[in-house]
Amino acid sequence: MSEKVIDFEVPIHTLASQYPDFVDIMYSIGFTKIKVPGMINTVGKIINLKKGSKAMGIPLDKIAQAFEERGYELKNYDK
Amino acid sequence: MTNKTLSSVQRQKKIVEILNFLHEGGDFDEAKKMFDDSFSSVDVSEITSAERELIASGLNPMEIQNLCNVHAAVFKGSITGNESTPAFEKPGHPVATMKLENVVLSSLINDELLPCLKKWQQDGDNDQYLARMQKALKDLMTIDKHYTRKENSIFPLMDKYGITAPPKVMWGVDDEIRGWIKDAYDMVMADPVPDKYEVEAAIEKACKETMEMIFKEEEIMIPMLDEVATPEDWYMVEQDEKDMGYTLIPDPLPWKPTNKEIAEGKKKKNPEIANELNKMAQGLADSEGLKAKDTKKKSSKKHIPIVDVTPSLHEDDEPVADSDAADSSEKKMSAHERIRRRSQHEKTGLEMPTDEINVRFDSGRLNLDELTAIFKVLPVDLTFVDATDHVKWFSNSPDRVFPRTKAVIGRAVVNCHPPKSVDKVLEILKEFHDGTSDSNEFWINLHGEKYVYIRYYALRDDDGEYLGCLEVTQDVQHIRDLEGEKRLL
Repeated sequence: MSEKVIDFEVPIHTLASQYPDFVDIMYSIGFTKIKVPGMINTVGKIINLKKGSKAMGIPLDKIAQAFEERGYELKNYDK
Repeated sequence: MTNKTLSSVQRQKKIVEILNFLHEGGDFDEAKKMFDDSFSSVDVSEITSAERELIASGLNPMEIQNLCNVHAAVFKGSITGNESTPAFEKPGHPVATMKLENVVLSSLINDELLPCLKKWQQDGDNDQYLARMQKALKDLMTIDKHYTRKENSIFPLMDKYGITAPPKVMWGVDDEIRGWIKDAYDMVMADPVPDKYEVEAAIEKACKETMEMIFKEEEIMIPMLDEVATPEDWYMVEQDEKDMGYTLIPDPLPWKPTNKEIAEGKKKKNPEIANELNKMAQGLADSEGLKAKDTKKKSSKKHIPIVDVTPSLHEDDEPVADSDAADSSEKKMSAHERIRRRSQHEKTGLEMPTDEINVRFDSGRLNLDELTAIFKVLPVDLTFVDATDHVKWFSNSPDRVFPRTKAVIGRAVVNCHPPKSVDKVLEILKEFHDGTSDSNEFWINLHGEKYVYIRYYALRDDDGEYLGCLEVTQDVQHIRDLEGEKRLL
């Protein structure tokens, strides 16, 4: 089984299609618009977690923590 | 000719000439070429003296300010070499304008509003900081123009290419930000001013959200549009946005795409994302039941012309199944082509010999010139939404109460309203479709300056078939103010 890796520089659309729990985790941190139909397929292709953090005013470490707690490894996360 | 052969007076003359050329709407690339032919580099002081000369020659300082936008761009090229300037950075391009406003807004927040807030908290007896915060927040409220332009000229562009969800979400946030800024402004204007921590929280919230929106516009919205929009699209935005005004910047220079840019835009291959977006929009349209509704309507005896809008919404016949890259590219090209044709189409009314074409009503005939002139002076603003709930036409009167841009033609009406009012709009339309209601009205007191009376009418043909909805908007302040009488006789 391959490892679960969250890359902070990969478009979130990619992550969402890779990991079934990605959207729910994001929603729980405060990215509530991620569940609006049509967002993942549009905005999701443009932004990665770094940009998303800045756009939504949600700190990177909060994102990092949420994914670590669920057994993800972090990539391109430099705090 | 190089800069070595030019005296400083000649150099200055040349700069003035180029600036004048630009100011009169001359092409930026050509100006750049004029510049490059005469100079290998230019000193800031030379530009400044040229500006002074322009002022001395009678150009007003406000106009000079317009030119400042250009200077930076002209300079930039001379430093980085002769790479042609990307269209987005050219003065007057809607993206450049938007970014310029964002620079000013950021500076207003970070260099004035927030520092003043801090100092006011430390030195509460000093009214000077409070006054500056009041002024800064008042300026910040003019962000309304920036958002109104975005909502009326940029969002339709996204819509056109099937990017429908993001503008809806963004419009909702725009409205929230307007509210937060207003809240903060009301607080600093209140007497007595509320608790300092409350004021701090309100201002910081407004600032934080405004800054995040700037980031969203520049890092998400613009790159997304860059994937799909052509130079002609941007030109349409540029043409549309003038009437709505600008936030804290002087009117930008006129911009239009160069022939080279247009040619390159035509070659624009379908980026994979655009195709994805279209598929997405298709899915949404299906889920909203738009398609089903349209089909039902079309099966009835009368053919109602449907304006071709969002390419995806009307690709019903084409398979939605995954197609390979080449196929999708071709598909997208045709969408581009169709849109281009559509925008050409809008102007084709003029190709007809207008003196020969008459519209025969049962109460007389009007030719096209007469009709056009009548709509222009009618003391009401008309907007027509067709039977498929798409905006089909508006009367182009010069002083509309609410801005309407040509980009709105063909948009689904649900996408043309702020999220908070969209439910109400849909309700009215549903009643019209169902035949349970034929009209509705609203009246709004706009800042005590205008009293806006808005009426909606269901249009039906002689057989009672629903044709669409006519919105009639009028500023009735003057009518309400009328007293006594003024008679011809």
